[in-house]
Amino acid sequence: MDIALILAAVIAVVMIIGGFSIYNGIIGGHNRVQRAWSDVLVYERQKTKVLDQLQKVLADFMVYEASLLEKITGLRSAVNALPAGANGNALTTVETATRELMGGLRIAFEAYPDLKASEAANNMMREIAEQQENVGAAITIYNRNVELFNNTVEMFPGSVVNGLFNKKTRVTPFTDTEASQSFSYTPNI
Amino acid sequence: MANPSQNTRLNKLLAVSEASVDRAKSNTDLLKVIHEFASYRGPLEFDRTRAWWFFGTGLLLLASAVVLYWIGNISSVALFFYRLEIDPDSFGIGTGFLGIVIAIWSLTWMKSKSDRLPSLSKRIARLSSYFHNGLTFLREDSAAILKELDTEFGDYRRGDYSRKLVESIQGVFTGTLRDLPYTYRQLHYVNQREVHTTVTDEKGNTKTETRVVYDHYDRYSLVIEFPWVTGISVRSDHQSKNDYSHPMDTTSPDFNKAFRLTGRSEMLCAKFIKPSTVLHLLKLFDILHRPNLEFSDSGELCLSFESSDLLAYGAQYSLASPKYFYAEISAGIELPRLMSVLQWSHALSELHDDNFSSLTPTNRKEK
Repeated sequence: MDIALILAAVIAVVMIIGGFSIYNGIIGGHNRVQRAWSDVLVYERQKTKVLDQLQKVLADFMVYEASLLEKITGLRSAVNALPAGANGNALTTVETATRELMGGLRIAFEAYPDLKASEAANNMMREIAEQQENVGAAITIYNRNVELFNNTVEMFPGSVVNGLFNKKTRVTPFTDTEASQSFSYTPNI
Repeated sequence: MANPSQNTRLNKLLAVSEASVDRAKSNTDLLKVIHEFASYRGPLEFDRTRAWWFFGTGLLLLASAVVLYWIGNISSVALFFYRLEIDPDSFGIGTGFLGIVIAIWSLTWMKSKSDRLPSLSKRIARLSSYFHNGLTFLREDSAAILKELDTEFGDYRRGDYSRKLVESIQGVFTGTLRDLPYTYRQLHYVNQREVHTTVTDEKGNTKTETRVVYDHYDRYSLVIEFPWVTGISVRSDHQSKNDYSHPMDTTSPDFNKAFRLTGRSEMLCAKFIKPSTVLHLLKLFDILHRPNLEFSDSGELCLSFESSDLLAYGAQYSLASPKYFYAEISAGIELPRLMSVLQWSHALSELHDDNFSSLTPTNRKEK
């Protein structure tokens, strides 16, 4: 057989195997992003369970600040509205609502000394802080997965395989605008 | 040597101090030793004048031997030696040999003397760092302790030829939330392997030679009381004996690349590997090289690693400047690397102190 034909066949086989591998890699990457997003949802929803208990503790201490209760409701609604599909932009409302609630709770703790001295309330605050820590870590891991996935679908040769077969779109990572605004350095790009 | 009285006095001071350091039980004992150096009248170094003279003489004898080698063929010189019934070659070799011996001996003497003060300073600083951080040496029966550790952890099952505990030190870390008692151990182990090499002789025949090679390794570990997590192994090296039967991948690609996570059950793995724990475990690579974590069924954590400098201390001064050294030792020598690892462990306990479960402990052999 002609050597050129054999060479062409070998190249074709290598390209097909490589193509399959990239195709599977894109699907795997997308699934990992989705799994990481699910983790974010799980920990955000666990936060709402703590909010139920928090409301009870606040009621026990006769804390009926309308704005605080509104913030709790606002956070619960924001968490419930999170989509099942990975989308970092959707987290902005939840994270803003969480920050506002934490600020409101700190003010309430100062305004109600009994609440500040209560072990139950302090445990609740610690619980919320722990949940928030897990949410933060889950978002970090989600963003890392998104970065790897986006690199695969946007960089050659993944972009070619994705354009022809997978047709996946880039996933939006979560960016904290408040945090980035307080950071003065702007990259020169 | 040139000033026997100076050297004798310093020798005596060093000998007494070395013995005192051997017996030291507290920082105060060490400070007493340093005080002796601070109040010592005279330079805190050996007089090496005579040693240098000996060294010069040795070199001169060596040079004479070389010269004799060159002029030995001149008949008048040879005749001179034969008249004295001396063989010029033997005389030259003898002179050269004597010169080398004298030069090496004088250099060795100077080296041994100049090492004594820094060596004693290091011993004082190290002991002070132990006293300051509440560390105590353990005298353990290596074989018995290793047998005991094997029932708890897989990490000590290393070395297919031999293994031995070199050092064991105990302490308690006082954290913001709780105290963490710990034991630091250094395990030395030897692996045996056969190396086959093909050798060709003069006739062109080849044969395979086999020789046994012994590879020596050290592994360091901290065993910490940790009742909040049980039945979990997280490892970054190839010690598969640590593994439990249920592996688990996390959502973090960096974690999956760096560690292998296994547990007694998938539920235990899932409860343990919260996102904050994933990131916290990854931080460990900033402090330690090739770390492994094993949470035993009896509530102990074995954190093992390859970093040999965990007990590195940061002393600036030595007995050469005794007043500064005294101030430094009395302030206490810190062990920054050990403290950062213990702080990391304390933070890990904070992440898991609400996760304590009373699952029935099972024997390690079930793995």
